[in-house]
Amino acid sequence: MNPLRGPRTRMRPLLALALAAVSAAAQAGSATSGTGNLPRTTPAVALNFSIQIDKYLFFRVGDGAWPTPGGTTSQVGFSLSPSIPAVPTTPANGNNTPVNWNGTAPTFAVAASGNVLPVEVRSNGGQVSVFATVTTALTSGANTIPMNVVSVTSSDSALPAPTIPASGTGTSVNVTGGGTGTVNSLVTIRTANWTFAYNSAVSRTAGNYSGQLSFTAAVP
Amino acid sequence: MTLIRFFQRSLSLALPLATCLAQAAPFEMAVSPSRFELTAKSGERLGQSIDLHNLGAAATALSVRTLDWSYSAEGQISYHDELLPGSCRPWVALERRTVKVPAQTKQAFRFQVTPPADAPRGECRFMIAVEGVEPAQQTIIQSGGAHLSLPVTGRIAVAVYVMLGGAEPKLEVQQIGMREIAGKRSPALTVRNTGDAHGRLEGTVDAKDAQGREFMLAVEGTPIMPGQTRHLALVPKGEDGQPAIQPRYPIKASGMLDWDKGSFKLNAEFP
Repeated sequence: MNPLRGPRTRMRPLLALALAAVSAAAQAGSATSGTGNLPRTTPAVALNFSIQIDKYLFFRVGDGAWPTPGGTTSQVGFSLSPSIPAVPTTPANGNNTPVNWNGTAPTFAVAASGNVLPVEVRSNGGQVSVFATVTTALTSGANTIPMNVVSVTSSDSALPAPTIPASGTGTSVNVTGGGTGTVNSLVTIRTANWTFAYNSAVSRTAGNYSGQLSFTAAVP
Repeated sequence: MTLIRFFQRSLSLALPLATCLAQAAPFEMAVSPSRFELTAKSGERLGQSIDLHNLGAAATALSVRTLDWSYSAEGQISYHDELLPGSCRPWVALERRTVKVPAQTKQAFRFQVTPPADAPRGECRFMIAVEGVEPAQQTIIQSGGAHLSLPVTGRIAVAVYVMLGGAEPKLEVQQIGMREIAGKRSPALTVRNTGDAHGRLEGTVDAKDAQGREFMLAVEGTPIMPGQTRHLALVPKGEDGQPAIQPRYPIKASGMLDWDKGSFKLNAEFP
């Protein structure tokens, strides 16, 4: 027996199926035909799509611009320069130099540098809320400064900066839906720069104060 | 070890870690899904996972924990580290307390909720907070004698709702009209939830303003907690990244707004 005969025989049904498939494809591909035995109309070919888009939330605190990752971390600094009121006598430099002082408390001039925090929020999950939490209070030994001496303002009212509480968790603010690149306002793409400021109206005890602040985004 | 002690211990471990790793890097994280709305039966374990995407150029160390939260009728969220009365956080088991996601990759984070067998019908709510261990920004305030160091970290809170024993919302529209919402006069619906789980409205309705301009009004999709009555704004929907139109009143609006168990037909004029 020809050893090839068996396999050749088995291939016939496969070939027939393949030809039938090609024929069906040709029929589906030609909606109209003018001559020959090809049918003038073809049955509708259903092609069902199922696309699942999950809800997501992206939050960036620090520099960077989607989709390019950030890398450089900004350093925020405030320099406070005390100044004694110059009335009635202008303060003079030097040791052991008496000057008249009317008793008014010295004021602090704040020179801020790099005090801008870039932030970005993206979501398709609905209303995004952002709030600030004082993770660790500003303390230096036994002295504590309420965190709300530091305030933050946003460059874009659509991505407002939350109020920094004196301690604990502050009130949440809502991010406005929409933004450049969104299909509609039900999707959120917002970027802003949040600028920190220090309220120097109250004189503080000298010391090394450290604390921690965290910003949280959520889609409740 | 009780669960409270378990959480206390996890917190005490997380804090020294945060202190040690003080090198700042931008927090660039995405989570998916951003919210879980699940159903469960008492005594049965429910497992889920969150995809954590790190879009940053460096690996990001994260601490993960649960939070209690509440949502006011005015739409304000309050978060609580401490266990609130009736909290279901003791039912929650997290895969790990810390996780490090390599740069430009995603990682699944699993959690389980196991309501006890005698848990009553109702809704269990908590948040899973995913927080950058390393500060995203270092804030430093200096003066002659004072030095203020203020690292800033980023955090995403994922809301989890577990509807237990068939708990469900029951929404009813009580009023339709103009209201002052967030300092702005706006078309609004007053919706009451008499059910035992949260609900929310979804959808848009067709609208036409006094100048004959046609647009869509989208209903605020924030949750209405059980027992709450909330005023939900109907906001003009912007398209293709463009700001929404500022309509001239009166506005005529009609269409259907959906919720979990039905829909409301709206046909109203807002003066």
